[in-house]
Amino acid sequence: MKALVVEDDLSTRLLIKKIVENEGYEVLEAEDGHEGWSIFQKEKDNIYIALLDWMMPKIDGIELCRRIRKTPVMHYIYIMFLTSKRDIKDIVEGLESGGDDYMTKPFIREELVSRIRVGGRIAVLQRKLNEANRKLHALAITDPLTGLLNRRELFRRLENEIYRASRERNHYSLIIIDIDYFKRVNDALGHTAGDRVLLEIADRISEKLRPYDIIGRYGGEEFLVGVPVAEAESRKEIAERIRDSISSKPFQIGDNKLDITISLGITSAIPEGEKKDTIHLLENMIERADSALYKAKDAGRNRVIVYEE
Amino acid sequence: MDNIAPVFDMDYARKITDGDMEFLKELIEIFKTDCPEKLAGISRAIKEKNFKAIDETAHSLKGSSGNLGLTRVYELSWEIEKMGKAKNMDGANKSFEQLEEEFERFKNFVSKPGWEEK
Repeated sequence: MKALVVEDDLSTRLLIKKIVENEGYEVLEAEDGHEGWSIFQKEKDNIYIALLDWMMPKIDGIELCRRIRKTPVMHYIYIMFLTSKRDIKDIVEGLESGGDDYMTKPFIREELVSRIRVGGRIAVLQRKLNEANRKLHALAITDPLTGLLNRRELFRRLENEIYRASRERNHYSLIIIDIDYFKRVNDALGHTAGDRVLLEIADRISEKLRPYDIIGRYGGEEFLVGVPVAEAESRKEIAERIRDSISSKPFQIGDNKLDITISLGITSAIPEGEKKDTIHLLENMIERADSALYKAKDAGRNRVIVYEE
Repeated sequence: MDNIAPVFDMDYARKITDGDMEFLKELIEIFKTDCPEKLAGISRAIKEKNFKAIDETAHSLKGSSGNLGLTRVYELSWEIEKMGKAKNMDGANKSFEQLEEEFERFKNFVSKPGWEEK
């Protein structure tokens, strides 16, 4: 963890630097706000605490604090002012500009040390909170069994993609995938085996997709795939590749080798509409893909059907 | 003016450097090098009756002296800083003379062998 110390007076700066180093930080020194700002921009991902002198030439501590707070950083930066100002008005201005604490100079060593430790504790808490939030976010958007996007996040991303395609006048394709006779797997081998089949299907399909394609779990044994396409033909190729990835190789579930197939329905369109209409555009596309899927099932399963008007 | 406050608050200086005398000496050397320039800045600002400059230059010396335990230099620069802020120069020259004297006394103090053992 690094600390930024910005102080124009050399002896004071060295003194603070030593105290902060004793607390286990690597110290980045700057002798005015301008230098402090350029160091901050380079090192912002490593700086967890900043000690800023208030009165400095060029950019003062308050202005530097405001700039730091306006900069997006992944973690919290604890900012402490070092000032000989004692007016309540000044203290309020400092804290309002985004400062967490202030120390008046000349300071008492033990007090500065304790306050640096407070900053360190808050930085640690903040880091834990951010980690927990990241984990919660991942859980909130993921289907726990397959690790794919869950239905809500899937819809959110598909809406974004459809809106993007509508703005850019591009084709967008939607593929609905349903596992053929999935109930038989569950009935014959139990739900645990069924779960393993679902998981492996999710993995096999994901391998066939490009980074900008979207896949999520739509229902119990149904998946939705969103694919931006340049040419009308290529969408069927993608669907065929997906179909082939399932049917070409049996599933090894315990001692059983299962031949499993999927049916796919595709629709493709240049979506047209306002942002608020996107959800309807998506619903229409799903309906069309669904009716193509129905035809694929009717026609004997293990096949891809493209929706036609 | 009586010199009630000590020229150099050794207790404070020891505490702030956590008893690291070598480090304290290093800081004092830096201060001794920087101080004449700061004094010259204050002197110039007083001559030019530039209140803003008086405020800033005295403020700067106040900061560095205060953190090293140079109590008298700290207090006198504070006085001068306040004059700059209040745009009132009454007694500024006298305070500045005292400031120079206090800096000399401090230099004498730390030039005597064994001062750090007191």
